[in-house]
Amino acid sequence: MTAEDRELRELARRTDGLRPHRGFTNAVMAAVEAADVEPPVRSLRLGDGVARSGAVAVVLAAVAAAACVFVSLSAQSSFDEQVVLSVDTLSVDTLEVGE
Amino acid sequence: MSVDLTLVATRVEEGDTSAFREIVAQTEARLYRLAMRMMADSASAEDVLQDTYVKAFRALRAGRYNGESKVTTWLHRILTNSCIDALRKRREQSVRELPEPHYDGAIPLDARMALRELDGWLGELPPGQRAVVVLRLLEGMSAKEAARILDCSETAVEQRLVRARSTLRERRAALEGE
Repeated sequence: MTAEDRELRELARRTDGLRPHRGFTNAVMAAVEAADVEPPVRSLRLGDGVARSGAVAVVLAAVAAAACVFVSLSAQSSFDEQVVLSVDTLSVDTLEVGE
Repeated sequence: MSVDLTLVATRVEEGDTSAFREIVAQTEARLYRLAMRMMADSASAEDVLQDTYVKAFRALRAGRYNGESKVTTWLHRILTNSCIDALRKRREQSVRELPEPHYDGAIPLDARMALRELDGWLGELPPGQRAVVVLRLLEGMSAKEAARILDCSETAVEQRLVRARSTLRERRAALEGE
């Protein structure tokens, strides 16, 4: 045992009689009962909700993106068709070399 | 009268809030002394200890106490970790921001002086080393008990104690050289 150990053990002896004050148990129980009523802070964290609904959100986003692509392609195809049908004649001017 | 705290903990887990009073009554004296030796100030010690009981209560209600260690060991672990966190925050504050130590009026003068001396000795140690010194040298626990509370190996406990002793020796040498 070092000299420091002996000194610390003496300080331990002098603090052996420390006790909480009489009202401490009641104060702790009041805090515990309050904690029993209020929901734990953890359940209010945004991250928890995101974690739970994350998978569903990813699937919904994928479906929505696929629907957008489909609508966009079908609209483009219908537009192209209308353009082709609206052309009455197709003329090609040729330019002969040396004219 | 000896009470099986594991059975009481099961009652709390099943919804009997008032049973928690039995756990507090059986453990508060030892835990308070440990908190005082760690924090060296009654206001901080009481805050940390109350917070420890609330954490333990919530953990019991959520079914997070698995019964692998005794209820008292589990409470010691929560308290020691809370004290280490509080001491780390205290070290981050500048000296000017630190409040004067506050002692409950019921604490005898000799115990107050001893706590001040203790804080003088242990104040320079990192919180993890301070916890080892308090558990091993002041609470008189074995390396195995301290390791269970600190959730580390016995070797790690002994290594921290060696480093802490070296710092304390340097402090003594500096004081004697003044």
